[in-house]
Amino acid sequence: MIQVQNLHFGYRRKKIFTGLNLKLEAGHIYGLLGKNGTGKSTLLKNMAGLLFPREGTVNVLGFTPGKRQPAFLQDIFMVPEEFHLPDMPIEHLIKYHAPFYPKFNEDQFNRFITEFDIPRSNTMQQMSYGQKKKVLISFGLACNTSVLLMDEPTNGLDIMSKSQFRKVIAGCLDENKCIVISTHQVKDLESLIDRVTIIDEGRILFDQTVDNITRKLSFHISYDSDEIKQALFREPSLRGSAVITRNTQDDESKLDLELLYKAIVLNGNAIQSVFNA
Amino acid sequence: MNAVFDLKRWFLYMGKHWNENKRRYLLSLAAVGGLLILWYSFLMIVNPDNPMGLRIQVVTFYVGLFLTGCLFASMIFNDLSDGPKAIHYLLTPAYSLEKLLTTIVFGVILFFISYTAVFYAVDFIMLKIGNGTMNAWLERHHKAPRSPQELLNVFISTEGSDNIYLYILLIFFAVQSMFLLGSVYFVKNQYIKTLVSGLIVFLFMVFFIHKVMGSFMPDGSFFEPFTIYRVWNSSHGEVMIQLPEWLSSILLFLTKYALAPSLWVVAYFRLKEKEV
Repeated sequence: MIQVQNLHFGYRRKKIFTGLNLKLEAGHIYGLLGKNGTGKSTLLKNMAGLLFPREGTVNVLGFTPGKRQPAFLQDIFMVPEEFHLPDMPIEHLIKYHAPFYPKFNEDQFNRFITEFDIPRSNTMQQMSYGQKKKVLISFGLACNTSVLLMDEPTNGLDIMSKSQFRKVIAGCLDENKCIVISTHQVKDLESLIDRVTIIDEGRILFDQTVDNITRKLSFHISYDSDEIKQALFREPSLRGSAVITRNTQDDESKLDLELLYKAIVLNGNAIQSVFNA
Repeated sequence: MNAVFDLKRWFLYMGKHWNENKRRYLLSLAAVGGLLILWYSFLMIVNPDNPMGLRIQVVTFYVGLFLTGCLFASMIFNDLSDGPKAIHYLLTPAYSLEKLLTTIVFGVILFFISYTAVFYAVDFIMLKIGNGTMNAWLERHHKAPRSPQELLNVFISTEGSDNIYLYILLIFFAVQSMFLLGSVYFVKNQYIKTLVSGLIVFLFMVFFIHKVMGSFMPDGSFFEPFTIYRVWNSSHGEVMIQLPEWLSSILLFLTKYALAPSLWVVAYFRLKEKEV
């Protein structure tokens, strides 16, 4: 569905990607994690055709995104971190924008708007940042595009809205869709994503499915000093230490995305060795 | 569905564009009308004996057209210099050609029609007031009454054999298209940057024609642009070298009608390669 091959990209003085390779398939929600400035948004923009690779290729749904053909644009939707919605009532958004997306479903849109508790009578200018973002997310989801790219979608959402967001997204995924969510607020996505891709300094540091991660790694709180010492990664907490260990006994533990992210960034080799074995 | 253009989608896009920008466009037109009223009111105060002469109306129409038309054109792609708006613009599912044509329809064609309509609406009203002001002034100063000023036709010149207004309009569309290109080309301060770039290009052309071309052309100058070159020859006196009729016709036609469209073509390719 999305294939990135040997991607080279950089801004005037700063190189971002030097030979990035990535393959994303339909039916998954990908979590694109990384520090600020590591190229998450740049990668999404390359996928959407807003930036063009300096070298290498990006192929999305069989299209070259940079050509920005309508057939491609009507099957991809991007929720950028900083977004613009024209100042108009929601009805006008449906009337003037939705016809560009052939798979737009008005009932679905209305359901999301209700779930997100958006006042329908307001124009965009009368809405708060969070409300506007929820309108954009609802619109993007209702477009039913094959690819949905979201850059920091939970920024600006309150606690209730974050959980509504997770619920709505989870309910939208089917085997024909690929959802890519870039974020550094890893806790927001913990229960949502089924594949974790971590980018650092323009390269893929880690790329595994959540199933594979929980099969091979165990995330738990430990009080056992030997276990803590031998852990692949440990972090002292108020009660014991949060550790990542090899899952040798097929334990079922819940993925701690934040801990995993820190482990990959700070002690990536140890974690990678588990998956390379 | 066509490879680069789809009529149905284009109409859809025009509808979307109008809906998103109608408030801004209508306010701009109201501002133009307001400025024209202010200008004519000023003229009535400083020149009450003949505030609405035909020449003043012509100058007002064309100076206003150049100023507002170029300013408007330089702002037409403002969205592209604002990250979130640029993303919204570039990701709307329509071809670049459909987006550019929409811009030309609104920024060039409808702007010109609307400006002319607003000018005539203001001109008509202010002419009535101006004639009243003029008559009152003449009466107050015990001068002979004059026939009232008439509404001007800004498209047909009564002076000279050639219709000079047509040439001014053609120059306007070329200059406005240059500002439209500047609007998509530059990220910030489009108006100033286009103005400076335009001047540099113009100076370069003057330099090229006079210095570079002049160095290998015989001693003389163009008698008529694109058609007749006048040479001073010591043995034969003044000699006119005329281009073949077909060639000069093509050159003239291209200069008159192809300049603005060729700038639109450049704007199209610039739009296609725009990154945000």
